[in-house]
Amino acid sequence: MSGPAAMLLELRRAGVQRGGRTLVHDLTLALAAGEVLAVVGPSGAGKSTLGRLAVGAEAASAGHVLIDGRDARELRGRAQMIYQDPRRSLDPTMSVAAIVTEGIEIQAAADDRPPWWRRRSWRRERAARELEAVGLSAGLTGRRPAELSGGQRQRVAIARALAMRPRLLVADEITASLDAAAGEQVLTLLRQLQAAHGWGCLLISHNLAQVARHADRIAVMEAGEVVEMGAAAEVLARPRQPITQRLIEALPPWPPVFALQ
Amino acid sequence: MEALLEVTGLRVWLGQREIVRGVTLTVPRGATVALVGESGSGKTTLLRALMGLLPAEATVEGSVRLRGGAGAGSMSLLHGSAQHWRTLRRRYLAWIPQEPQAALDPRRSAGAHLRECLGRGAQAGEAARLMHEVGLDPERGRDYPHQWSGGMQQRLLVAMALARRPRLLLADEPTSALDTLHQAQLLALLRRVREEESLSLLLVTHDLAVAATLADDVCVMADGAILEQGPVRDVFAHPRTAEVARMVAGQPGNPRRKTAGGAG
Repeated sequence: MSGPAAMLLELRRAGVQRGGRTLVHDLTLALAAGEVLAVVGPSGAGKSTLGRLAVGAEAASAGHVLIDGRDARELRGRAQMIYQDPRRSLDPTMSVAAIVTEGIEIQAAADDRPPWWRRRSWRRERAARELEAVGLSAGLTGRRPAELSGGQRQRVAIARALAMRPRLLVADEITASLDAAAGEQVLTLLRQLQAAHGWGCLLISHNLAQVARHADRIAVMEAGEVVEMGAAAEVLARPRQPITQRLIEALPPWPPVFALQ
Repeated sequence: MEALLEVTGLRVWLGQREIVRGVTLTVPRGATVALVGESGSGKTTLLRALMGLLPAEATVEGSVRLRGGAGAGSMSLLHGSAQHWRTLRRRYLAWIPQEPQAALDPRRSAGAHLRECLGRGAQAGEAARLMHEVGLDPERGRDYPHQWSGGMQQRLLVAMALARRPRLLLADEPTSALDTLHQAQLLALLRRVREEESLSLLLVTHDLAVAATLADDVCVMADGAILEQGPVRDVFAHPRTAEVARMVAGQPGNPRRKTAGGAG
């Protein structure tokens, strides 16, 4: 990482107030391209609000949110968000291929509209490539979201988001509805795709074991503020703030300690 | 230990697909049984069958019996009128669903949800006590749950289930939307009410650490059938099948192990 100019996402003292309540306050952080910054903290700490600020879905009532140095609100589409439950974010009436094609069309329309972008064969071929990239077999392209497993649905959501060629991906609890094995596969895939394309990733998660394996840095939020930030291994091994210590200590032991029962 | 719930040879078809393929399990009175397995293994369908919440096109075979109070005999949970199910759900069974939002009415406050579950005879302040018990601020009883985070909604659902003072609590991934603090709090809460009210708990979870922490027995499901079942320690420490061994090995270790006492 080479100084502030290389930063993909920058929050400068950003805050959000709604209905007299402060959701997040004085957020200052930076994310480089190719980096995974995990955001952890108790529910209600403002993690999702931070995610929405980063993708420009939420306006900052104070401070600035910048992507590549420009206001995130003006750059929607350069930042994409994936949610916990793709059953709600994916249109249940559309096929897998149509969902991904929609992402391709949005990107083509917003970008330079290459002369061939209306050509069916081009869109079909690109959709097939996007789905192949997330490890979905060609046999699944005609299915609707309800006919897929949770892990497959989340792959479709990733393919749709990446079809829009984002600079930043915000993953908001994307493995919370998946079993451990499926969750691990989805995050491993995310990191492989990131290595190939270099976008930055905000990984919002309450799963500290997962964060330990997949994040470069961790930001710990409490009551709307970032209270601790550092290299993932360092924060988990030597948490400095009481909230971080409590989050780690509250984990049920694994491997299990049966002698205590 | 005396059985509260006995499931024998349960099969459930949705259309042509057999989702639950001959499940036999027992939940002893006051015990916690964890149902673990990967997504799509039939855990939720099994739970729905026990609650009478299967879609109309489902076909069910086998037997599910719930023992009543001392000497009260047992009731079948599979075939019954709507009235029969209402009584069962009001007096014996409570269900904590996986998706809190779908289970809450957006037009009603948190307090109104709780008061409905408590019924007319409840003492004033009981709703606030329950909110406090599950870690919600009792001052926010007038909030609409749709203003809340998923974790707060989940805790409201637990309070609603406890309000009915059930014998058997069926919980479908109750902690998956919670941060570790609230997860520990909920696990401690479930452990406490289980002891105080001799509540039995059938817990569906994909987190083996949660199962190991809370449950007495575990049933590992795959593809609609039970692969292994028995005391948690036996199954997790000495898996007999390659699938369960893989599952146990695949569960990521938590960053720091607790060294003493229970959670929360």
